[in-house]
Amino acid sequence: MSSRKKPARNAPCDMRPAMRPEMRPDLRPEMRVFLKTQYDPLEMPPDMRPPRTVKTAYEIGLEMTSTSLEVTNAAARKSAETVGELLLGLTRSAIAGQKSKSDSAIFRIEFFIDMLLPPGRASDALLDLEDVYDRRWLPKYGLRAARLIFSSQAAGLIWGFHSQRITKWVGGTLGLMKLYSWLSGPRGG
Amino acid sequence: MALINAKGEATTADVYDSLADKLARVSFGAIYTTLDRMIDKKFVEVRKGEPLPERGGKARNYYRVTSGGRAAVIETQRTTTALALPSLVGAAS
Repeated sequence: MSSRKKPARNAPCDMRPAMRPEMRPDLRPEMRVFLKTQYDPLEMPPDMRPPRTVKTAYEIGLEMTSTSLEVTNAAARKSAETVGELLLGLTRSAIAGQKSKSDSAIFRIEFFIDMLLPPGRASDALLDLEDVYDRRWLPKYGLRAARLIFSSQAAGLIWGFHSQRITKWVGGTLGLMKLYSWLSGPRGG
Repeated sequence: MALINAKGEATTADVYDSLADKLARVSFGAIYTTLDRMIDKKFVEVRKGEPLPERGGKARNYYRVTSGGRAAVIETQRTTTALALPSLVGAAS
C-alpha cells in the first residue's frame, strides 16, 4: 500500500510535469489552452473556478508574495540606510584622520613609528603622542616647536625600545659567555 | 607615583601629563622603558583597551599599579626617609 498522498486534482502546485502545457510541445493548441486553464485557476472563467480551498491557497500565496516583496524592500531600504551610516562614519573618521594628520611631517614620523616598533606598542605610542601633541604641545609651543618635540619624542621612543632590547641581548650573551668560560675553565687544584 | 596618583588606570599620556607638570623635561621613551621594567617586576599591570571605532582603529594600553607595586613604593619611601633623616637633622642642628 502506498503511503503517498494523492494530489488534489486542481492543485497547481501538484501539476505533474507531463501535464504542463509548456513541457508538451506535441499538444494541439486547444488542448494546450484546456490544460493551462484547468491548472491555473486565475485563467479560468468564473463559473469554472476551482473549489474555495484552492482559491484561498492562491490568495494566501499572493499575499505571501506581496509580504515577502515588502520585506525584501524593507530589508533593502534598511541595508541602504546601514550602508549610508557606514559610509557616513567612514567619511567622518577619514575627515578626523585627515584633520589630525594634515601635517605631513607628523604623518611621516608616524609611519616610521609604525614601521620600527611592534604593533601593540606602536598603536599605543601613536595615540599617546597624538593626544599630547594636540592637547599640550600645539597650543603651548606652536606648530613648528610642537612638530620638533613630536619628532624628538618619537626618536627617543624608538631608540629607547631598541636600546632596551640590545641591552637585554648583550646581557644575555655575556652571561652565557661567563657560564661557558666557568664550565670550560680549570677546575680543582 | 604618577600611576598611584591616577587612582585606577592611566595611559602613558596621563603619566606624561602628571610628570610634565612637575619636571622640566620628560621623555616618552623613558616612561615606556620604566613601565616595561615595572611590568617585568610585577609592580604594574597592563590592560589592552578597546580599539577606536574607526577603520584600522588603534587600541590603547591602560596601566595600573599592583598591590606589590604600592608596597614597594611605601618601602622605598621609608628607606629613603630613614637614610636621609639623620643627616638632615644633623645639618639643621
